[in-house]
Amino acid sequence: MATQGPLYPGTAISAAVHAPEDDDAWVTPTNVGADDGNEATITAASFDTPDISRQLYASQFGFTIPAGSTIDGILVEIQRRASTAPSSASDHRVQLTTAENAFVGDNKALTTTDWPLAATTQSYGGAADTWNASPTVAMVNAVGFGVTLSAQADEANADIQVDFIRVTITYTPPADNRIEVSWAELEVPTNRVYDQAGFRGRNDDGSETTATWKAAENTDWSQAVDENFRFRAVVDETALGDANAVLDFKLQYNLNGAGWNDVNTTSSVVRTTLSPNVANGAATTRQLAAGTGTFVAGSFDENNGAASSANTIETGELTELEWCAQVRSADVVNNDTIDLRVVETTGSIVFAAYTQVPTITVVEATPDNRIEVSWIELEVPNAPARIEVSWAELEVPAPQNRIEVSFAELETPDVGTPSNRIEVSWVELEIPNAPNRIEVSWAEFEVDLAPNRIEVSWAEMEFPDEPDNRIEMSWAEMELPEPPGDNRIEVSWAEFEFPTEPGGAPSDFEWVMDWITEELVCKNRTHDHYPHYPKRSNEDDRIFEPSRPGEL
Amino acid sequence: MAQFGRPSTDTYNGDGWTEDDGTSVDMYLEIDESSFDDADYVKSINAPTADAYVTRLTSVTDPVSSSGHIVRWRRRAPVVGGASITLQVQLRQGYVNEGTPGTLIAERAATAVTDTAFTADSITLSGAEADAITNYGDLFLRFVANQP
Repeated sequence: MATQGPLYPGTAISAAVHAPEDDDAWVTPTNVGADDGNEATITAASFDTPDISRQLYASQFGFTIPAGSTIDGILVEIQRRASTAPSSASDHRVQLTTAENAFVGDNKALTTTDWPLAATTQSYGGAADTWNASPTVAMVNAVGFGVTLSAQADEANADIQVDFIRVTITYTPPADNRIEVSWAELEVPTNRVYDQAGFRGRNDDGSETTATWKAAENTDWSQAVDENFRFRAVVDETALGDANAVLDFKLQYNLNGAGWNDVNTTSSVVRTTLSPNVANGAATTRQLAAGTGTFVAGSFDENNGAASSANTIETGELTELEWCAQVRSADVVNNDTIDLRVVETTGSIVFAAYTQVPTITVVEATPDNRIEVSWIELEVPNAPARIEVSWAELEVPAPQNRIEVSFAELETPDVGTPSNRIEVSWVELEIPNAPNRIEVSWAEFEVDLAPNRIEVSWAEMEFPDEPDNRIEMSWAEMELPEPPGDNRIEVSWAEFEFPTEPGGAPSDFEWVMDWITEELVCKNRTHDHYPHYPKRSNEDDRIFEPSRPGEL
Repeated sequence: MAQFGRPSTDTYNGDGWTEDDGTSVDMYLEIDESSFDDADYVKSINAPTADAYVTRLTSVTDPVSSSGHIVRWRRRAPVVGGASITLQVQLRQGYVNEGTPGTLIAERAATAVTDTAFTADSITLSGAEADAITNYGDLFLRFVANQP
C-alpha cells in the first residue's frame, strides 16, 4: 500500500444555508488550509445552543492517486477548540464531500464529544476506513473532493475555532511490474595516438651523433642505389591515450605510390644493411627538432627493419628511431620515388598521423657504355699510307653486347698501283650469351684495274644453338670483266653447305654451277658424279634427300 | 583517459517504453548523463513481454585494444505488483531494427531485478567480445524488459 498526505485544502468556504446548518457563518474559513495557528472561527454572540453552524467546506486537497489504485482508507484530521467554556460545542458533521453540500459516505461527527478548550487534533476514519463512501481515484483526485465540518453550540454564545483540516489517503497502487533505467554508458579506452612528426636522411659515415645529413630536417633527398644511407624518424605520442602504448616500431617503404611494404634484410626496393659505423640496437639520442614532449631513447636498426624505444612511448613522450638501409638497383630505375614511414610492429598498425613523410628520389649509377681505343696509328709519309686500328671495343657491360674489330686497315697503296682497297681482316658482331654472330674473315673492295671485282673470301652465318646450321660462302667474286661494257656479275663458284643434315649425318652432296650448261647441279662428293638437273629457282633445298641422289 | 559512448538517439521504441513522466520523446536524454542522475529515467510498460528499447551510442575512436571495454547502467524494478521482472542488456553493432538487430557484441542475460532503488550493473567485455567490434561509430544498447 501507499499513502498520500496529509494534504491541506487549497480552499475552504463557509457554505450557504443548508438547514439545519444555518446559523452563524465561519469567519476566515480558508485559515484551515495550514497548520499555522490561524483559525477559522465562529465567535458571534448569537451562536447559542442548539444552533448549528454553517458548513465549513474544505476542498482542493490536490490528491494524485495513480489511476487504477484502490483506495484503502481516508484519514481526516481536524484541529479545533471551543474557547468559551468546557462543553460549549461539539461536532455536528464531519463528512466526505464531493461538492458543497454533496456528501458521500458516513458522517463521522463525534456528536457527544465536546471540543476542548485547547486546540486539539481529532482524527476521523483511518488507513483502512473508506467511510462507506466507496471512494475512487477519480473521486479523491477531483478538485471538489473535501471534508465538510459543522458544529453545534452547546451553550449560549459559544466560540469555536478550527486551525486546520487535513486528509491522508491510503491506497493500493495498480500492479506496476516494470523496469526502470536511469543511466547507461559504454566505456572504451583511448588509444595512444602516434605521429611521425619528423625525419632526416643521413649518410652512413659516422656514429649515431656524428654522421652527416643528406639534407635539412624534413627535407627530401636523392639517393644512389646500392649505397648505405640512414633514415631517422621522430615518433611522437600526441593524445591522452590510456591503451596500447607502443615499444616496437618498424620501417616501411612505398615505391612510386604502389603501396607500403615492410623493410627487412630480404625486402625488395629498400633493404636494411649493416652499417660499419653504428651497432644494431644502439640507443639513439635527441638529434632532431620535430615533436614535443619528453624524449625517450630509441634504437638503431641495421638488422631486420624493426627498432624499439627504451620504454613504451606514453602520453607526452617521443622517441627517435634510425635505420641503415640501401635502395636496391635491381628493383628500381632512375628517378623512382620511395616514401618511408614507421608503423607499429605488432599488427603493422599505421600511425594516426604522418606529419612528415620523406620522399627519396632514386639515382641509378651511370651505365658503363664506353668506347675504348687501345692503340691508334695514323701513318702517312711512306707507302703504304695506312690507318691501322689493332683493337677496338664498344662495350655495353650488362649484357656484354659488344662490337669488336680486331684489325682494320685502310690502305691507299703506292701511287701508280691502283689497288685502292679497303681491307677488313675480321669483324665479329657477337651477342655473348649465345655466339650468334656474323663473321667476315676477309673482304676486299677493289676498283680501278681489271679485274674490277669484289671478293669475299669467306662468310659465315651461324646459328650455334642449332646443330651447326649455317650458311657458308667460301668464296664469291663479282667481276666486271674486260672489255668494259660487258657489265655483268659472274659468280665463279658458290657453295651452300649444310654440313650436317637435320638428322646429324654429314651430307654427301653439294650444289655446284656447271659453267658449260649454265645449270646448277648436285654433286656427289664420293663418286664424283655430276648428274645434270635443270635449275629450279623456287626449289627448297631441304627437300633434297641423300637417299635419292640427284633428285630435287 | 577513457572515452565514453553515451545514448544519443532513440533507435527503437516500438514496445512502449516511456520517460519517467510518461512521455516518449528523446528518451535517451533521460539516461545520457556523464554522471548518473536517478531523478530521470526511462521505464518499460507495466508487465512487459520482452519489450525492447534501443538507443544508439555516441561514436568513440577505435582504441585498438581488447581490454577496458565496460558497459554500465543503473536500473531498478519497483515491482509494485509483486511480479518478478527481468532485464536483458545487449551491446550491439549495426542495429537497424528488431528484424535486423545487427551483431551481438556482448550481453547481460535476462536477470531478475529485485532492486527497488536504482542500482548499478555492468558488463566487462572479454577480449574476444571487444575484438568483435569493428565499427565504434555504430554501437547500440538494447534493453529488454520481461515479466516471465
